[in-house]
Amino acid sequence: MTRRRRWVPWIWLAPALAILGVFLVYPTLDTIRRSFFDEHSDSFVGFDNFQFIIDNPQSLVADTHSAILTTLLWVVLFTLVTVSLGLVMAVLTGRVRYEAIAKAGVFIPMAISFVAAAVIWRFMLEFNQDIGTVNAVLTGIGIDNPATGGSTPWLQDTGAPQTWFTNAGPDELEGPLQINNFVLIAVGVWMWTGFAMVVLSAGLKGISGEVLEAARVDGANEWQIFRRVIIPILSPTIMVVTTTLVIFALKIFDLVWVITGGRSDTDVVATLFFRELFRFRDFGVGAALAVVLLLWVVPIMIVSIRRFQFQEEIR
Amino acid sequence: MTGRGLSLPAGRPPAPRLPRLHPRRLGRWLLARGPLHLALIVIVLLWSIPTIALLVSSFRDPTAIAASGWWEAIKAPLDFTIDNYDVVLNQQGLGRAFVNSIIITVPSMVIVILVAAAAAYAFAWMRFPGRNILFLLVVGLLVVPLQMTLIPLQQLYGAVSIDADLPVLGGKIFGISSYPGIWIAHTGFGLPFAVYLLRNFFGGLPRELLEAAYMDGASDLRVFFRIILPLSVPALASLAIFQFLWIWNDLLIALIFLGDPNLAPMTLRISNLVSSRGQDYELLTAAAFISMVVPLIIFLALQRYFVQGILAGSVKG
Amino acid sequence: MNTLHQRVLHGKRLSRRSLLAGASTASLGAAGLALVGCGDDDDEEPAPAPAPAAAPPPEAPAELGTADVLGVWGGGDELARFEAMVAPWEAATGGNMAFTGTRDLTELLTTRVEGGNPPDIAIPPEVGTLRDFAREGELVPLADLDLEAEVRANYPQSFVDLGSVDGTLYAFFMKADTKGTIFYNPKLFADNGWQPLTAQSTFDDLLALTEQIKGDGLTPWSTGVESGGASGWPGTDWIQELILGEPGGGEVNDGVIDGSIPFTDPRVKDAWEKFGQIVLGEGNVVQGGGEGINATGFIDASFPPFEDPPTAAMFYLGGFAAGFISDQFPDAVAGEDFDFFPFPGGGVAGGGALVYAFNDDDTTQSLMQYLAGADGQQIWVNLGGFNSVHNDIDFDRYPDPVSRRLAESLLQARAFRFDLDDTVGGGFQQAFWVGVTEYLVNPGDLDDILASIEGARGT
Repeated sequence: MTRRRRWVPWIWLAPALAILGVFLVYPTLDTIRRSFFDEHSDSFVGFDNFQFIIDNPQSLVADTHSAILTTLLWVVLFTLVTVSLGLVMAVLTGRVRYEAIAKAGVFIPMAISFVAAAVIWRFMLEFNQDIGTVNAVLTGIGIDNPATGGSTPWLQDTGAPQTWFTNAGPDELEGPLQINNFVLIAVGVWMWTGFAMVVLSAGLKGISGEVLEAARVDGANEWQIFRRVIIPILSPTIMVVTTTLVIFALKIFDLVWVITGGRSDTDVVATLFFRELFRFRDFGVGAALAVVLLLWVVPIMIVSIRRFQFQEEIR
Repeated sequence: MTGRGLSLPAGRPPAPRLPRLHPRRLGRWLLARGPLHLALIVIVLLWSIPTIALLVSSFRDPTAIAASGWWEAIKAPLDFTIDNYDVVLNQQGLGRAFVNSIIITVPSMVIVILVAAAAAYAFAWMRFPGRNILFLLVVGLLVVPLQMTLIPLQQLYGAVSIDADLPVLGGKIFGISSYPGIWIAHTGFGLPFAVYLLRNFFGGLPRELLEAAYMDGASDLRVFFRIILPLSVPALASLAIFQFLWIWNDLLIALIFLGDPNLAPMTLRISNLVSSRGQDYELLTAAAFISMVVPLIIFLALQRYFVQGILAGSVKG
Repeated sequence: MNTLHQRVLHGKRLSRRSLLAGASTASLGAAGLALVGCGDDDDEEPAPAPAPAAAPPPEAPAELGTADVLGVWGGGDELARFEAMVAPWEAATGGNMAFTGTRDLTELLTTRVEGGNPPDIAIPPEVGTLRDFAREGELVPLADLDLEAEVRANYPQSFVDLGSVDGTLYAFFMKADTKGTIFYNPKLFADNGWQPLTAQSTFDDLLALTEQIKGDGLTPWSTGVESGGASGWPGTDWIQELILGEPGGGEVNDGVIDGSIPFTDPRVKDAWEKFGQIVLGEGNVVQGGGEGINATGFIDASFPPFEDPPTAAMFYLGGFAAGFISDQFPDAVAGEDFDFFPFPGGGVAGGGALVYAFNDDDTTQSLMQYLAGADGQQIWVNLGGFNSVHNDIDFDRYPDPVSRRLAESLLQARAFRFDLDDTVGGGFQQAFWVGVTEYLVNPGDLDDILASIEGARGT
């Protein structure tokens, strides 16, 4: 690296740091402060609000335990599926002539607003099988219909039509493992795969054809090229996409809010703290829930630090 | 699935783009490429069905939407209507809302990218104490939920409201109900991701290229504008698309920071189409496609930066 | 783009100014406003104008600006009609109403008020926020808007009480809906010899009618409580009506609200069980059972009795459901193809839109006075879908017999109470909603559910 005056980097960073300080750091500090105060942010209450989250006394309207577990489910399942599918689409579409159409097809859900996405998925999964596409298909093929003898543990014993968003799912499973959470995550995957695909495609663009050609000349098959060449070169981008999606999953809000409003065990931490803050007007518990979200970023950061130091070494 | 799709056309030499399909070759082609096409087509179809359902529904009468599934509409006799589009497009003030959306989105997007690119350059190619920690803190700010910032920011905006008789900016230089206010707000919310993405791409640029430029005495500004930015166009393009989308589709920030309907974007107009108990939601189907037009144009315009990415030299079939 | 926008804004400003110049009534003050609009109620005695408002304003009123109004309305039926109602005010005063509608009003209002960025006027459909904001000193009492005497003189006492917090009047009702309405298909009833119930009927009569219809081979009820994050609220309306329908029900209702009667009280539990008796009874509901009711949207649930052929005989929901029916069945004639009978017991719960102000500037004051007046409300009454509780609105002015009877039932109820869950608000309201959806799938857990709802009081 070249020698610079010491203040030069700070000039380049100044606009970003100033804006981040005002728009994200200051509200974060304010939230942390409120999390130690009562519902009107008037008097100091120590860790009472966090105790509330641990004790979970209002499980009917603010099930903190279920919300945290559901968020965890989102983080794991949503990220895993979205990144994998995005990678598959980014790599595979590059090999066919209808690439542009395929990519546009996967991208379009990203361009649909959450409200419109909610409308369409409520149509797709409507209980009334005359209107709900999925229930129409299920009824058509007779899944879980006592008359045909078919039954799956994941579906309810209602005849064919399933209630995908309400008190649904396998009765023997507790908490967040309800079918409605899997449905919501599927909607999330539908919307966000385009994101992973586009960012990963932009990363693939950076891999020069010669590297790949050289590997082919060396007799590598396509799978080896994928494993040994594409994945290593792409790994920083995969990390960016994964980290970003993990964090988006952590604070997933709109999708749940517009489709189920967090009802029937679909609450996640973000919908819960939104409701605590702005509907129940409890700024203490609301802020504490937000702080719980903030805390989850710590392990992610530790992983990133490790990876970073590693990257610095090989550079 | 990934493996199977990729492992089959092993080590094939470059072939003509359109192989003639003799029966035997057809069999081999199916064996080799079939799973790839099948997987792709299944995924794309699955992805498109909801969108198609939305599109079909948007051309249906609301009473029909409430009475039968969308697939009924594509059976004869076809009974489509453009009423939904008619209502949405003829809404009073939609044109102005469209212009407002552009006024909100484009500057916000440009500011995010410029500010983030400058910071990402410093993080990627300058040495200074605390660099990595600071960068991780910036990335860590990704986790801050938007909803958490609303109250403190309104208080702040109320405190530093600057009026001015500039009609272009909504009569205000800063504060609530001012365009610069909402530009900067969107910039703040978009920055962590933008810095993260760009730093990653900038860091992956060939070191020798930059070293050579510095050796030649090129200034940071010159390196930034002549080397970094041009070489990072795919990353900038994907960033631009997502910033555009997120800001274009934003409703919450607009609801709170643009109280004045004269300044409000399309999302606010569209959400006002639905009545308090959720009636008229069929209009949302048409509105979804209308508001999707601009982002899709941007996507298609920038698509060459993520299309035919890797295997430029290899076979497509 | 910028110049286009500039032109738009300048154009707006110019037109506003020219409007002002053109209106010779620009000096029209608060007193004059009562004369604006379609004030052709000549047969009625002139409204007694409150003395202070009748006096000429002390100074020439300043040019009115824009009033920022936050509410829930949207779409052609509500928002367009509300804007039509306000148009005469804008024309006469040069003021401008900037309305923002959102379905997450409580959340948006809390955010903006806490952030020090409240609208000028809010029109929420519940009274929970009124209490909070009034106690926090955010609201302007109607007395400071020169409106208190007028509202007290022209609105029924029960609605004045609902707009008051700790003895101070902050809000008035601009729009109200009865919730004591069971909708049915008159032709279907006539063909089968079923008798609609009356205000004198009892719950047992309702059960008997249910059995009779079922015995004749049709599913009696259609019910759906799905409503996104608010799912369950239609069930809370059932339960409140069932509480009010018993002797002394009004007092039970009030006791539940102020906390003197816990939600676990046997009289409350009795109402839940009656609700279950109807909607969870074998073969009573076309949606099949609790899971189907939970999964069916409340609007969709209003269609089956009026389909061809009908798949259910009746459904219960607030009076506003008449609008769902006429939207879905545009050819249906009110009073012939659909009608309602009163919920048995004679008690009536109702909802409504409350208007209160965060600001006392001239524009806000002028618009508040206009919204509270009969002339503006009459415009919306004429357009349909609006029940006024203003004393000067004539029942004969409602557009069809069903809407007229809806308005009458609202003002003539034996025991009128505002919607229970909308009165309490907050966590208790949320728990009530959740409780309904829980009860529908696990009716055996009723005691636990009631205890949990009571436990959510005060959150």
